[in-house]
Amino acid sequence: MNALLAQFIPEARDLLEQAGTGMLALEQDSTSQTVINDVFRAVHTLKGSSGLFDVAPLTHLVHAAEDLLADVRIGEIALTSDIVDRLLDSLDLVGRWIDALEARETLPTDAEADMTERVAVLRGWLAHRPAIVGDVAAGAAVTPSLESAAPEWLAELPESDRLSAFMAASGARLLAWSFSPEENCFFRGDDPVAMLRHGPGLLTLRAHPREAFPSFETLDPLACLLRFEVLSDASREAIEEHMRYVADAIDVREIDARELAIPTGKPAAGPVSRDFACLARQHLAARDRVALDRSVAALLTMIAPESLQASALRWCKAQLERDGFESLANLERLIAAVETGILPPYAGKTAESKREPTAPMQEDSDETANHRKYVYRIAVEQIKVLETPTRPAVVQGRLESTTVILKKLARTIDGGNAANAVDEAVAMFRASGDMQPLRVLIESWGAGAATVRKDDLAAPIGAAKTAPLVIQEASSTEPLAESRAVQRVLRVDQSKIDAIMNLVAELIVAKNGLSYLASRAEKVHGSRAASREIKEQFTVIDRITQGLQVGVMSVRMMPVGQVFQRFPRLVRDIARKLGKKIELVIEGEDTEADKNVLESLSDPLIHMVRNSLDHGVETPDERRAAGKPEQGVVHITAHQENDNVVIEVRDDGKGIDLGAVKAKAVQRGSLTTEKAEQISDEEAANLVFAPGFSMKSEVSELSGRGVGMDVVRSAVIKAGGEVTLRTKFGVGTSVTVRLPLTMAVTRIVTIECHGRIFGIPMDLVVETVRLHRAQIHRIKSAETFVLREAIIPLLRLADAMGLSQTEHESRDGDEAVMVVRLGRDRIGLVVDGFRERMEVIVKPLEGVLEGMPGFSGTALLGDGGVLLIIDLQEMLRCQ
Amino acid sequence: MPMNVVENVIHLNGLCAIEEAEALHQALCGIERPVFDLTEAAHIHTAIVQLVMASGGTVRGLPSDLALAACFRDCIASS
Repeated sequence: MNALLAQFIPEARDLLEQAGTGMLALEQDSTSQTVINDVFRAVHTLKGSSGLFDVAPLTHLVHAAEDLLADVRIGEIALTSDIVDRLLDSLDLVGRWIDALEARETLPTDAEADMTERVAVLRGWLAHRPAIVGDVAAGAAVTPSLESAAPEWLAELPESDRLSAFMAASGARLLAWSFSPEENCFFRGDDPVAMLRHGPGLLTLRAHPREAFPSFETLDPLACLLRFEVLSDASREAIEEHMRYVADAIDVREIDARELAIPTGKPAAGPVSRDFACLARQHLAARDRVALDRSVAALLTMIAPESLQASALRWCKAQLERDGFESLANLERLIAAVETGILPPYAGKTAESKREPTAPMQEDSDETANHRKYVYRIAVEQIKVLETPTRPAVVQGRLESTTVILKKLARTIDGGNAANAVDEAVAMFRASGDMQPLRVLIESWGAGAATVRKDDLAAPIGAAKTAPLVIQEASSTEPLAESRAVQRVLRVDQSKIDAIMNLVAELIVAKNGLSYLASRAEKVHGSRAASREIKEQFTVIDRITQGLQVGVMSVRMMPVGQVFQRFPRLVRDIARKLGKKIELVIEGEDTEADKNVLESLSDPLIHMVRNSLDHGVETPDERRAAGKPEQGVVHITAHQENDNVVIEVRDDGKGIDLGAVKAKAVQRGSLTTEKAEQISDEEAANLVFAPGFSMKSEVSELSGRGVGMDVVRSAVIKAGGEVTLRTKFGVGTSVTVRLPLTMAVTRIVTIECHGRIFGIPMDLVVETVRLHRAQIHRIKSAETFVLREAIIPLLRLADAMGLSQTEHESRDGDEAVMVVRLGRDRIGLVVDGFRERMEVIVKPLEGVLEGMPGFSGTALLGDGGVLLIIDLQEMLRCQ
Repeated sequence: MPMNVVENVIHLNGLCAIEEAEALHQALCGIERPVFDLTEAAHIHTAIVQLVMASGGTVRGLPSDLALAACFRDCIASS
């Protein structure tokens, strides 16, 4: 599978899980901003990542969910159970698609149809949708929003580009958008220019440094310092789709094509332009296109082409060419601009002009500002000339010429005073070679230019600008997302950990070989010293292996919470289906257990919880009648107990009627009437674990097929655990599962039987005792003995395994008995002798041994021998 | 090699990938007033575009692709 997809699949599952959990939490408390942000972020991330693959239906569906959540987030929509149902259902579908992707790397064929139907429902809830491009009637006034405010940089695009974009635009609306790629984007393989070149509907673009470039030598050629401004004739969706990987770096505004008509240049108002305006307005009123065209053309030949007036005229011309008299208001604006040198605000905007276009005053201050700017620029150049090192003879000449220039400049701005200041500064430079006073003087001119520069820019463009404030949806969540990403987590394929685990396991076995070697050194070679040295070495290796084992185990440990995660959803769905009110309380989800153990636990747990919901907790009516609160409570708790993890599912429902259970058992023939009267409540309760046992007369969708509890028990036993049930009629039921924390390394005790060595798992062993033959009692054909006032049945292992008995009959003296626990019973196992304890890896029986009853597997001994591990449960069942 | 330097004139040809950026940066550091001829360039990576812009040099031949050419608008030789 494609490595990227392989990575996406588990990530997607995590995100779905997160979103699902959050959604349930939201249903309880829809005001929690943290939770809604979590859910939103998960869905948002999923949408983003899915975009990398060819899974359009998935992306669309998640997108619809995201939009809905976005509205919930800003409080536009209240989250109802119906919405939650639909969102969860959609997430489930996405989950199934992820499964399909994993299996076949493609979505199911019906994905498109499934998606369309769900998207329609999700979108139906949306409070409002942003106006779709093209819906806006041409020329109609558009409600201004911050998102649609024309960006300030429009005026900085060359007029020719704006003109050609205006002429090329197919409709009334255009997109003006900017793109500021991240500095390190090259390292991600991005090429912003290539992205823009291939963007939809590109009309024109402008590239410029975000800030002035640093000196060329220090410039980092691999840092992107550019910003791009683009005009496109495409829909917002198309651009956002095209730029989806860099969505944070773009700022898309929808503008009216006519907003491009921004005359630029130096205002040069005169009597001619005022006459023109007068005439043009008459033509406009008369809708006389020919006359207006002629007037425009005539004035264009008369005034300087670089003036603002000429620019306004060119726009007039373009507008007439493209739209004719369609937008009179805009033509009037342009005519006003020709007349006064100031462009009135765009009619489509409500933004108010702060300054009244009182032309002469304005023009004067504009002229001064422009003038000061040029003066400043020239002065700065003079300083540069002075600073350039050259021969002493030349320096003198340069100084004189620059002084002359500076003084002339000074006179134009401040008459004699500034010129005197220049003389003083130059004199100081001549005397001391210190250029600082001169620099300070020039800077002061520059400051004057800077203060007016803003006006200088604003005046010709007009006051139609609004603050370019864009609220980006995702921006508030981004920092959080980033901090989350910093979490140092390694995602490793489980098979790799398993491989390490196997190696550790083999190391443990190999380590056992050392102790065998030690005894051999002593016994065979008679070297006690060598034996001791080997033993010393053994302890060192033993310590390291144990550390290694603990380390690998801890990697495999997972909090049981991961298995519990699905229950809130399960309980919610089933409760809704059954019309019950149920609260789920989960405790101890941090308890850790081996991944395999947890996996083996997940199915039994579902059965247990389902049983509690279906058979345990009553309907609200029944509960009220029984004097209980309407809402039932199901507890799922986990805790660690020695080397076991204990998980309990407890409800406060109606409990199990043990009398009925016994009756049913008798009816099924699995219990005699006499025995039914003898057995304890606990034993009776555990009858429900029998295969095929069901108290329900009818089979429901959830349970009642009589497989549930049997499935639970067999799965738990298979994983080396045990399950018990306690119940009190009318009060509630509790099912407890006890599982070993880990299954990889098994501690066993070896026993000898008929000259052969076998292993028995340590957890089963209660104790070992030596019995004198006299202590063994016979009850009919069965042997028993009394251990601390309890009668314990005896079983001869040799008999159970069908080994010859003769030799033993003749033996006198003690019997070695190993007392083992099977479920809740204790049994004494008569063996020939006890041997050492060891840690082994139990390998399942394979090949010809496969399916051999009575043995759970094999393990390798230190001397290379193979040890058979006895499966006592099964061996006794065969008896 | 998509980059060809003759005195102070740099010809960029074909596909100019980011791999050329550092070499171009090095080369440009030693050229006083670089002049770029981009007529033969099919695509120029952003990093290279940026170097051309930052070098303060002039562009005397624009690439045929209009969008690409638009990037160098401010660098076109005025004469």
